Amino acid sequence: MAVSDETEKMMDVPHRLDSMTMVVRVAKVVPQLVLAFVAIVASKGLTDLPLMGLLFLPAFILLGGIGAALHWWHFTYRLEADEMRIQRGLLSRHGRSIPYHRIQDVNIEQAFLPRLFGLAEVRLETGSGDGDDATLKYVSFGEAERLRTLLRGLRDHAKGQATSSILADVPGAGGAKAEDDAGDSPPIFAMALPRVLIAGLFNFSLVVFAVIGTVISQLSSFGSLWSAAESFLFRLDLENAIWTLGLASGTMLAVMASVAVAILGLVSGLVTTLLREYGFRLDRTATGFRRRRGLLTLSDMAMPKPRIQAAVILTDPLRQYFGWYVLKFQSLARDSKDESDHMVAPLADRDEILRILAEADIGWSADWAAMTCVSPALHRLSMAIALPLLAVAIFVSAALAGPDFAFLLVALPLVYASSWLRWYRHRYALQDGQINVSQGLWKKRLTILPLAKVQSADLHDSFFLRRFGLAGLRIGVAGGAARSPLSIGPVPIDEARNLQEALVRH
Amino acid sequence: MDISPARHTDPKSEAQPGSELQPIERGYIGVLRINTALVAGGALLMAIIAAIALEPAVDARIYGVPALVFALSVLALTSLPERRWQRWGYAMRDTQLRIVRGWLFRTDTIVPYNRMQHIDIAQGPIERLCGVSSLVVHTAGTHNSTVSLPGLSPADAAAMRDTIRAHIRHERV
Repeated sequence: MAVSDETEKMMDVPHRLDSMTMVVRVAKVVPQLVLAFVAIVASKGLTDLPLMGLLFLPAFILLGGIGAALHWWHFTYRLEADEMRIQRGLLSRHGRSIPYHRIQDVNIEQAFLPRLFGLAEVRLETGSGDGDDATLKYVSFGEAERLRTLLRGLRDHAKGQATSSILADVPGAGGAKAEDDAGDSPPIFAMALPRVLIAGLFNFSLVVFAVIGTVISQLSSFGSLWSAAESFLFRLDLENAIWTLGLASGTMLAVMASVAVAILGLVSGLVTTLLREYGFRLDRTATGFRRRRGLLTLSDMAMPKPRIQAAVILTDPLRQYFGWYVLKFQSLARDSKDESDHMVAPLADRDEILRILAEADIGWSADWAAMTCVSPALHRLSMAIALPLLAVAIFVSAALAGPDFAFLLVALPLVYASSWLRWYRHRYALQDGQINVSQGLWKKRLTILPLAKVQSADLHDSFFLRRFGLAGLRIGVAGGAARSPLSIGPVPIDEARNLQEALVRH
Repeated sequence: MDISPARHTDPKSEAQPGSELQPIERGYIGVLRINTALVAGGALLMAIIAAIALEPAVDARIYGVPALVFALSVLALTSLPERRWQRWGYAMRDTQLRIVRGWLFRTDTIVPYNRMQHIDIAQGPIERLCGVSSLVVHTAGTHNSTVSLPGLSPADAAAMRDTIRAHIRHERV
């Protein structure tokens, strides 16, 4: 195979990460050190330990720097003939070798701080995609791109798919370039800033409730907050105002709290979405898709078409009212630490989704109203058991603890409604060589799985379900979440058997 | 596949006459029995030790607990293993493998041959004692990433593996 001088220089020679890596590593640790320093000073007071306090911060930075330097010194990677070798560690030497044909893909990510220094993280994805990948943190951005092109070429060559000279002078001739070459063609899907902001608004974050909870638990009581506000207002000579406010304090506080929570939820959702999806751009490449997104952390990810297993379309009544949907792909590898499904369109209308799906050879043709419902027997039975039990429990607590508890009865229709809605929303349809499954209560989720990607199909029932002549199905999908496999049910047992047979015959 | 179809007439078993499902080897009953005996023996031992330790505090009736454990173990060891064996059934179809197991919670799994990533034959020490082995099939799905069929004679398991290998095409998942 023809090898250019430049690439030959890269092979068979141990490389170190970029030296600026040490600076970045130390810089990452500095904010935590500063916070710790401030905490210690705040508790002890600056006058108590002047000398030690002044030495504390630089000493730890120096230690951090030494640690980073040692780590940098002992981390090397080599491109050998058949594999890539990474060696790291000073106390316990750790060597990893990755054969080129095992590399699924190479992705580049630029977090905010490394990007300031012109560095990038190179992530090699191997088959299982369970986080056991090799990453190079950090190399210069140019080196990252060179490595990506080179590794893709070596991978294609190892898999026997390369054209004649994969390491030719023209960078990335052949398959390697095709993966990130979007050419000058417009992206399949892109989000301008207004769209990103709208998506952020819809991503109302419930994390804020957890934050509020911790804040409240820190305060001794709500009363202390109110009395603090009270004394402040008192100083402003607004006695009468306080007195009238005091009457309404209960509801006032509740209203203020709700408004604060709502605002915080909106803002946190907006900020996280903006940081993650800014500049979202989906391009069609020769081998599949390429997705770029991020504000502080730039992420550049390739999604080869054969690895796409299923499409998941998400929406909720609020989004749907405005005609918005969210599209994700279930693929063999994990998206990031947080998402197991790959985000393909954070917010798009129906036409845009159809356009993306067409490129992935998946169809969105199932008419939701025409999809087959599952049996309501389980819902009816569970309600027949649960509602009387709940009613009895409420009456008993009302009798024991006081008639106020009777207002909990309002929960009963809510319980019934949510169970009914969950049943009503769960439907399936087998058409056009795809199995469509919809489910969800508030967030509606439609999974479209081409039959060719069905790995296995389970028909399961219990002694209990059999009495009703019902059974459920579980479909094995590569890359789906293990804790909630794609399931349909319960349905009459003959229907289940026919469906199972149809799923595995393709 | 050349296993003489010894079908069961017990309506609770999987391998009914007329169904495509075959029973697994009777040797598996021995495996189940030994496993149950080990668990029951451990539980009985713990119950006896606890009873001896607590007897000064409570009166001699505490020995009723180990007696109960013993009675349950005897029950579990006599009738249960055969029942559990009956709940297994499998069929090697043209293009798929079907495995049925369980009764209280029954699962009927079908895995197409061309979806199998690789196939193992496993044999633990107890299985070796009873002369059976397991066929373990790996798929690419996160659900059912491994599907195992125990209670096969080693020769049958090897024959099944070879038959399946002949069917497997190299296909990029």
